[in-house]
Amino acid sequence: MPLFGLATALPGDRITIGAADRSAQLGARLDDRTLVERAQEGNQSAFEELVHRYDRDVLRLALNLTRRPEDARDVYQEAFLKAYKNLPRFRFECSFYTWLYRIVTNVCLDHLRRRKSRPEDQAPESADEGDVPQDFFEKQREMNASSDPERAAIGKQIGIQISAAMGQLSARERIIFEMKHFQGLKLRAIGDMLGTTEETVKNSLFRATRKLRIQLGGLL
Amino acid sequence: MKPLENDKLAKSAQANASALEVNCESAERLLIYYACDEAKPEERAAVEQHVCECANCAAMLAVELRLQQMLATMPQTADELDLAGELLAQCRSELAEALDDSRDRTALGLQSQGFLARCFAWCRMEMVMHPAMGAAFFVLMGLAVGRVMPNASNGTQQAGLIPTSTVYASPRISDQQLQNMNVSGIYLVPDGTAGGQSVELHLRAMQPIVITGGPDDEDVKRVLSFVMTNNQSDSDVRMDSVDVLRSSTNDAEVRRVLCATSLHDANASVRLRALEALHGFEQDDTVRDTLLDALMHDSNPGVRIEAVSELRATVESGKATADPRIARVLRDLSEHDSNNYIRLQAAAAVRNLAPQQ
Repeated sequence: MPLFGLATALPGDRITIGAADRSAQLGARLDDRTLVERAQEGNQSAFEELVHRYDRDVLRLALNLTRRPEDARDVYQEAFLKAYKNLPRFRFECSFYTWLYRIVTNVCLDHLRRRKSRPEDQAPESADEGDVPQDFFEKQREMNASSDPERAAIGKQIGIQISAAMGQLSARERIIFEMKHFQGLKLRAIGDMLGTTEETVKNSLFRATRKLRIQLGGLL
Repeated sequence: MKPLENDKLAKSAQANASALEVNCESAERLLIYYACDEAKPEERAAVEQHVCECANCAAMLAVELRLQQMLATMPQTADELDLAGELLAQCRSELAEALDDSRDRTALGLQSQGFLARCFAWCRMEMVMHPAMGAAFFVLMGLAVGRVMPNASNGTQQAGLIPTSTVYASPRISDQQLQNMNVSGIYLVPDGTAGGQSVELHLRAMQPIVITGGPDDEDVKRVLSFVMTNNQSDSDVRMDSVDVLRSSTNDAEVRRVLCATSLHDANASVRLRALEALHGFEQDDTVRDTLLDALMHDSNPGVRIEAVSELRATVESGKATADPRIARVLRDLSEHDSNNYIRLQAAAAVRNLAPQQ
C-alpha cells in the first residue's frame, strides 16, 4: 500500500540547486565514487560537491533531532569535518551516502546523549499549542476532502502530541524514527548507517511506534 | 476501511497464501511494519488475510495507517527553523572556512614536518571542531603565561641579559602631607594573585588619603617608616607597620628603620616585634649593634631575651665570633643581668664562644 510523502533517498539520485551550479562548472554531473576518488586525491571542489549534494538532508536531520539551530549547526560542522578528515580512509565498502550518514548519526547520538545528561541544556521537547505552525491546520484541511473542522482539530492535537511523544523516545529510537518517517529511508539502509542489522532497527521502530501510539492515546 | 479495499486485500492474501500464521498478539508488530511498508511479502500476505477475518486488528491497522498519514503530513521542525535556507547557507559558509583552514595547513606542509607540527595541526583541527574547548584552552594558556612571565622576566634581568632602567614615579604623598598626617588604619587586601596581598593605608589628614600598594611600594614604605621612626599613631598601627615592613627586610633602609624602632619605640611589644623582624640579618653591623644595645639598655626583659637568643644563635652558628664586643656584653650579662633566664642564656653563649676563640 503506498504511503504518503515518503521519498526514496538513494545515493546520487538527487541534485540540489547549489549543486547544479557546480555541476555545470564541472561540465557534467559526476557520480559519488568519482567525486570521492577526486576528493581523496586532494581535490577540494570534489569534496565541496559531495557536501552540497547531501548537506541539506544532514541539516534537516540535525534540526529535527536537536530542535535547536545552534546545535544543528554544531552537528553539521562536526560531521562534515569528520568526514573530511577520514575521507582518505574510506574504502568504498558501502556507498558514500551510507558512510556519511553513519558519521552524522554517530555525531547526533553523541549530541543527544550529552544533552540528556545536562538537563539544564535540553531543548523544549514539547511544543506549546501556540507554537504549532499555523499552516498545519491548513494542511489538514487540504488533505481531508471533507474539510471537517472537528477532524482538523483532532489532527492539530495529534501534531502537538506527536512532537511531545517524540521527546519521550530514546536517542537511538528517535534517530531511527526520524530517518524512517522524515528522511524516507528504508530500514535496511538505516541498519547499514547505524552499523546494525535490519532486525534490530525493526525492533527499535516497533518500540518507538508503540510508545508513540500510547502517548497519543485515543486521538488516533 | 472501504469494502473495495477489503476485497482487494482478501484476493491478495489468497494469492500469497503462505505458511505464516498470524494471531492477534503477533499481529501488533506486523501491523506496524505493514503500515510503514517494511513488511516482507509473506508477512504482508498474512496480515492482509488476518485483518479480513479480525475486526479488531483491522481497526488497529486503520489506526496505524492514520498515524503514518499524520506523520507524513506533519510539518517538520527543520521546516520551521530554516524555512528560508539561511541556516544552511550559514553552515556552508562556516564549513568552507574550516575547510580553508585545513587546506592552508596542508599547503604549508605541516603534516610532513614532524611530530610537533602534527601535534599543532591536530590541536587546530580539534579547536575548529570544538570551539568551546578551544576558548577554554586559550583562557588557561593566558592564565598560565600570566603567572610564569613575571618570574621569567625577573630571572632574565637578574642574569643581566637585558639592560634595565629603573624609573621612579614621583611620590604620591608630599613631605608636608607626611608631617601632618596620621595613619588611622592599615588593611591587607587580596590583590587577585594566589596568596598575594596588597596594603591599604588610611591616612588622617586635612583631606583623608588612602594609599594602596604592595609592601614594596615606595609610598607605603615611606609612610610606614615615618610612622615607626616618629612614634606616630597608636601602638597597634606601629605593630602593623612592623608586620608589613618585615617582608622588605632585604632593603637596608627598612632594616635601619626596624633597628631604630627596636631601640626607641615607646611600646615594648613593638620593640620586640621589630627585633624579631630582624632575625637572619645578624651579620649586618647595624643589626648586631642593635641587638647588643637592646641587651644592655632595654628595660623590658622580653626584649632582652629576644636579643640574647638571637646573639646566642649567632654565636653557635659561628657567624659573628670576630666581634669582641659580643663576648664582652655576653660575659657582663651572665654576671649582672637582673633576669635569671638571660644570665643563663648569656653564660651558655659565652661557653660556646670560648672554644671558638
